[in-house]
Amino acid sequence: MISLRSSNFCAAAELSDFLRTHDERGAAASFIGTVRPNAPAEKVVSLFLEHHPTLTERSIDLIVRKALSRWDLISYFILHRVGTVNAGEDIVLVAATALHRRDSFEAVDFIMDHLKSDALFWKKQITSDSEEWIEPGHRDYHDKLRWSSSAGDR
Amino acid sequence: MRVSYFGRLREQLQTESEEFSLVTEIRTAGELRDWLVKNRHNGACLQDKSVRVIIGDDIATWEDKVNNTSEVAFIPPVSGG
Repeated sequence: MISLRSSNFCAAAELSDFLRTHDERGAAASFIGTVRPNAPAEKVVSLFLEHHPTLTERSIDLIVRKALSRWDLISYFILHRVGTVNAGEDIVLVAATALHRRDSFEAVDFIMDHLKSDALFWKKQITSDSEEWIEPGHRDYHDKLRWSSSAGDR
Repeated sequence: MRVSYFGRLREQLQTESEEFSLVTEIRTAGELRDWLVKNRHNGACLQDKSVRVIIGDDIATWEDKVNNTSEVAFIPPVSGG
C-alpha cells in the first residue's frame, strides 16, 4: 500500500497496524525517515514537500514494482508526508514483509534509495532565515547506483 | 492548453499554472518550452537541462506533440534531501 499524507503520523502505530494485518510472514523490515533539525550550518524549521496530483503516487508505485521483481515480498507499506513537515516529525515510513529477512532488508533499502532520487517530490528546506529548494546530490545518485552494479544484482 | 510549473520553477516563473491558446507554430513540447523562454518573465529557467516535461499523466520528451487540449507540466529535478 502507498499512502501520501498531509498530516503528522505516528510511525510506531502505523507500523503496528501494518504488521498486524500482514502476519503471514517470516520477516519484516522497516525504515523511518525524520526531518533533521540541523542542516550543515543552519537550524531547520521545516521541509515543504510539493507533489504531483497523480504522478507522485505512480512514481512510487513504479519503484515498488521494481522491488517486487527483485525480491520475494509478501506485502509492503510506504507512507510519505506531503506539504509542510516540521523538524523532528517523521517524513517517510517504508516497511516490507517477506518469508526471509534478506528480502525484506534489501527491498526496504532499495525502495528508500529510489525514493530519494526517483519519486516525484520537490522539497524546500525552510530554516530560521532562509528557504532553499533541495535537489538530489551525488550521494543520492551514488546510493541508487549501488543497485545497478553487479554486486547489487541478485 | 494548461501549463503547470512545479518546485523552484513555480517561484522563478511566479505562477503555479496558466491557460492560453497555443500559437500555431508550436507543435512539440520543446517548441512550447522555447516559446515560453521568449515570452515569460524569467522563462530562461525552463532551458535548464535538468528540467523535464510531463504531458497529461506521463513523463514526455521534448519531441512529443502538444495541442490546445494538452495539459503540460514543467518539473525540476525531483526528491533528494
